[in-house]
Amino acid sequence: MKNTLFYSSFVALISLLLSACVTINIYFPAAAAEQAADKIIQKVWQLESLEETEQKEDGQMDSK
Amino acid sequence: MSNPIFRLILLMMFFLVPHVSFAAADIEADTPTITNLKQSMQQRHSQLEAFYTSGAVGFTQDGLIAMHDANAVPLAARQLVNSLIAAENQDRIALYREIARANNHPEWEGEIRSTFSQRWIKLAKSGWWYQESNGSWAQK
Amino acid sequence: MRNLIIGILLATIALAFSAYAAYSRPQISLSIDDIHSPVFSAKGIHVSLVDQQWSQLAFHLDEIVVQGKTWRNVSLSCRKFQLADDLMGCTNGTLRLPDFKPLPVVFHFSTKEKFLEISVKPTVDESWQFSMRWDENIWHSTLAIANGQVTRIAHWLPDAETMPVPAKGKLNGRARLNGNTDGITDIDVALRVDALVFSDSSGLHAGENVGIAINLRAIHIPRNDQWQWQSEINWLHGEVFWQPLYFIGSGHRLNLTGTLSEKNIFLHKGSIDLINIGDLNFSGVLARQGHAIIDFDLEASNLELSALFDQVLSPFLGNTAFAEMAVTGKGDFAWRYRNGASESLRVDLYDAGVIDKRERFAFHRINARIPWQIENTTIANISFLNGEILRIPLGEVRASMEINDLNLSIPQLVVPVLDGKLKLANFSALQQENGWYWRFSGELLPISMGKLTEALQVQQMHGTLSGVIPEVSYNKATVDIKGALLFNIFDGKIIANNLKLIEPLGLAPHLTTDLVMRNLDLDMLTRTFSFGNMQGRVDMDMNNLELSNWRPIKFDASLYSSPGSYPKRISQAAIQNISALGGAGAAAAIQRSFMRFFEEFSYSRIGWQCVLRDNVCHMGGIEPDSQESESQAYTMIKGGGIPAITVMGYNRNVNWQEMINRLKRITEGNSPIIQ
Repeated sequence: MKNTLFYSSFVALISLLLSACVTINIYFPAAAAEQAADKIIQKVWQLESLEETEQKEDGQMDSK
Repeated sequence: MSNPIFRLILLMMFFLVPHVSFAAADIEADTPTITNLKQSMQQRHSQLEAFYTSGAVGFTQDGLIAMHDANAVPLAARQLVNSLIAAENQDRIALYREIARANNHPEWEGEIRSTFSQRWIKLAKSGWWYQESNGSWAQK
Repeated sequence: MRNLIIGILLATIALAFSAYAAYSRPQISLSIDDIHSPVFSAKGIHVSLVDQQWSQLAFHLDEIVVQGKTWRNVSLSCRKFQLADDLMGCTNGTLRLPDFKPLPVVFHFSTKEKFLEISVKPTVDESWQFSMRWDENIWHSTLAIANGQVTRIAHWLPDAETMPVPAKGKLNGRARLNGNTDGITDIDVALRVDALVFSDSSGLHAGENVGIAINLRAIHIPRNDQWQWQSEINWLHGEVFWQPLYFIGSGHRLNLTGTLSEKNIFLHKGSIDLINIGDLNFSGVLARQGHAIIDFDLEASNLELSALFDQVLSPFLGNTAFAEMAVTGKGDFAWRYRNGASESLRVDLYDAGVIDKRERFAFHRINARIPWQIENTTIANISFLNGEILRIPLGEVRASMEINDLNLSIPQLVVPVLDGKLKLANFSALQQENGWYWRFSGELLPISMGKLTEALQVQQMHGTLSGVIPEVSYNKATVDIKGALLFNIFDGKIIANNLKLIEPLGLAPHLTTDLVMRNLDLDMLTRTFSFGNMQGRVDMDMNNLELSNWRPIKFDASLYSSPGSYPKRISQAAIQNISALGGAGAAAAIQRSFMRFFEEFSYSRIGWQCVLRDNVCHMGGIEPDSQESESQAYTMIKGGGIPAITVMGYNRNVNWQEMINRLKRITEGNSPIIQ
């Protein structure tokens, strides 16, 4: 009983921490911005990337 | 008794985390304006690439491009390089502002710009020039 | 270039002064004191004559400073030195300067005949000859250069670190300096530079194959200790890049006349004749310290605007929207600047034209007379024959504009827009800290939608557009339209409220508005878009509509049948298209086999809702949006009458771009075939 209480409060704390941590991310999603930037740069510079090849395959599927 | 509480907390966690991470992970970068700007920059890149390679043009710390070594370009072409730089920078500034606006956070423009600044340099080909944080030029 | 001239001059002066120094002491002794003059100073001067007949001379300078540039260990030696009575001569001397190959030197010096001649011939066809003659009170000196290498004087040029350094080039010509015991009385320089190549380390200030002819005359006026000077500089050939300007060609001329006092440079008359652009005349006063302009007058008439803009103005507009313009026509300019501030400016344009290269705006046949005066109100007259903004054609406009400092106002203005008119009243503009601010109130007299849609290159529509606009304002790159635009279209009306244009002429234009559509005739609407036929009337509210680059990225739309009684019919093709719009899910609601028998169906109500966010359209139907499961079906068309048809949607989230593409395919006639 005591153990589970402790456990649940631990989880609550983690979740609190997580949400707190995430709140900072919401302020500016640096990782997502980096990904978006990479995607745009790859497009502008015509760099081969995973996303692009995927898109090409998608396009082929569509045309069928 | 503790079990339902535990479940509730777990539920809260699942509810909280995916929801929040959804908001955090998503940067919208696909508006008609962005598509337009990307096209315009992609077209210009075919002209600019040679100047990146020759070292005439390099990447600045503020997410733009600038003349690095005009000597790498014949005299008559230096003004063309100037105008390419100006047009590219106009597009880049518009791009950063548009991404910020597309995400309903116009105030993110500066952060998006600095993110881009790092990524342009990171993805630059070796031999291209860029400006370090102290303003001096370095080669990839 | 200017510095090159100064450098050559100073070199001459330095030589003259060294001779002058000798002249003031007619007897050359073997030990010479340190010499100090405004132009140069020398330290540690040793002269030694060896051999019994004194036939060998060795002259050594520990240090000589010219123009802040220091040379150490300058020496002159002469194997066949003649010293007889009052004549010194050397026909076989060698001058050694650090960083240079030894230079052969010939010199003669006579205290009785009072002359000095020095001739340096570094190569067979290159010579630098300096001669000087004097008597009791006056002296004359000449430097004649034949095929002189510019690089030899590169070290003598001022600011060698910051200014471009010549790498190649030939000098021909002469410089004469005359003087008396008080100093130099007049200067006369005629030089020609050919095949000049110069550059600074960054390459931002550089020239190649440059040819220039320079004539300079200056006379010292002892009465007020001023110099009267006059110069002509002719650009013969070559190209120069001087960030951000680039000039190539020949025939450009610069003429200057003025006086020089201790404090100021007075420019009495200056003119620049630029080939392909025109003549610019100017005069002014510059402070010698800090090179600040005190007074200036500039006048130019009949300038070719296209070359002026391309070569001179646009390089400075760099990162602005105006850099990418093609300009034509002619213009006059007059600028008056007094005591460090602009007093007046006049710009006249004759049959000018501006065309944005990104096709955002264009104005043709602009005629304007724009005067401006500090602390005064002036009236400008501006007109253009036609133009276009964002592809919308504008007709002839004539405006009288009141200018008060940087406040502009136009009481009344009519701008023909297509077949309608935009009437502007009380236009006023002023410059604020964060850019221009302007406002006006207006009225839009009906424009035919047929012409507007044609101009905008969108689907042809019929009807009219008009509006009463209490206030249009522009602030921080945003045009704010208070009031409403009314589209009389499809036998109903569309009212645009809260219209806002963000950076309309920028690279990321946005438009936001709320649209209210009432009583639109479905028959006309569906015919226009060849969607399959529908009869009936609809109302629609489209709030928070946002366009990016003139395409929707956000809105809250809800469409429903208009109240009232009217025929409500829908064709088979239209049903197919609607179902296709709703995605695969909607099509499932249609009983295909049953449909084959009828061309038209009846309905009682239509309802469709779409909330567009992040490229996804969240759809709903007739029923108010329920908060329950997303996959729940919704009714888009509710049947009624015979034969009745009900269309259900199952897919609530549809990719907007896909939907638009599908709609395009449908309206282009590729409607699905009913099996």
